Amino acid sequence: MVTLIAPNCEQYDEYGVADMAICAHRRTALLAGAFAIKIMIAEPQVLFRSALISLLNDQHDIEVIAAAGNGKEAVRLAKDRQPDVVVMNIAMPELNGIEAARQIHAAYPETGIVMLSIHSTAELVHDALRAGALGYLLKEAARGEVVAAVRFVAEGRQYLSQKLTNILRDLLASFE
Amino acid sequence: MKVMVVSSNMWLRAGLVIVFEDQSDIEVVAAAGSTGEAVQLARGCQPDVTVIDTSMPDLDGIETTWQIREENWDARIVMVSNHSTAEYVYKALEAGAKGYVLIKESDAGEIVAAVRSANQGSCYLDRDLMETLPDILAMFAY
Repeated sequence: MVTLIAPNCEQYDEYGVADMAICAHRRTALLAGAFAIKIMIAEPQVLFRSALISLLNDQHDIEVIAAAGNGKEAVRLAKDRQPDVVVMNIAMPELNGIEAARQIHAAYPETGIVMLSIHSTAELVHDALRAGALGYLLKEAARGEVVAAVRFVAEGRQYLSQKLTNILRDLLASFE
Repeated sequence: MKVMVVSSNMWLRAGLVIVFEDQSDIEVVAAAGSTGEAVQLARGCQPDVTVIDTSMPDLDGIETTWQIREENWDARIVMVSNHSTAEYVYKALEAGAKGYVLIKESDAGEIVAAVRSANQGSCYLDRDLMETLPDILAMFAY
């Protein structure tokens, strides 16, 4: 039986775009490196990847230590750098995110994996969780939700996008 | 040069801002999420180049281009898009876009190149659109 947590994310403030531009300048000024959650990003689209890196690096308790553009690179970097949390798109060239998650989870079961996708079908979420992912986020997720998911998964807890609540019943049934 | 970014997608908007912030000769002066916001911000910030992302269905980049040029006919606009049909590119150029670049998976270099070209008053067409060029030019003939 899988426990699913979909916390109320409205408590996390949305950042304005202006804040994001400031983030770019502060990227290198990481304060709490020693205790930071070490993150790897696997996302093929360069604009989306830069935005994710910038957002996560700007959190005092998070440090992005690696970034991959395809599934094979993601598996290799996860083994080399051993991040605490992997944030990974499902749709990737070379090796898709679900398969990459399966391989990373098999080698390092303690690594938390958050899947990113534009799709919200119960089957896909089921496959992602079965592959070892602890979190599932839709690509339309607000910034606060991405950060929240990373923190949840770093603690070994599960996180599902709030917008997935409508498929929760199907998803639970698929695990029975 | 002063650049304004327009995209209805928060992540693409942020990604574009970051790409430009990394260039020493470019300063992002505004970021808009809708046509209305873009027109208003363009009026206030007077950017040298406006970059409009038209890959999302909820923002019509061609309409945005027309509206910005209605107030400032010489506005330099670069369109970033996933539409690669001759018809769409023609409409963008007809609306007055100075550059047209396709969103790539792994490289944002052409977007920056297009912005620099536009700032100098020249046009920039994505290299991957060269095969479509005869069709685009044919549309201008009618």
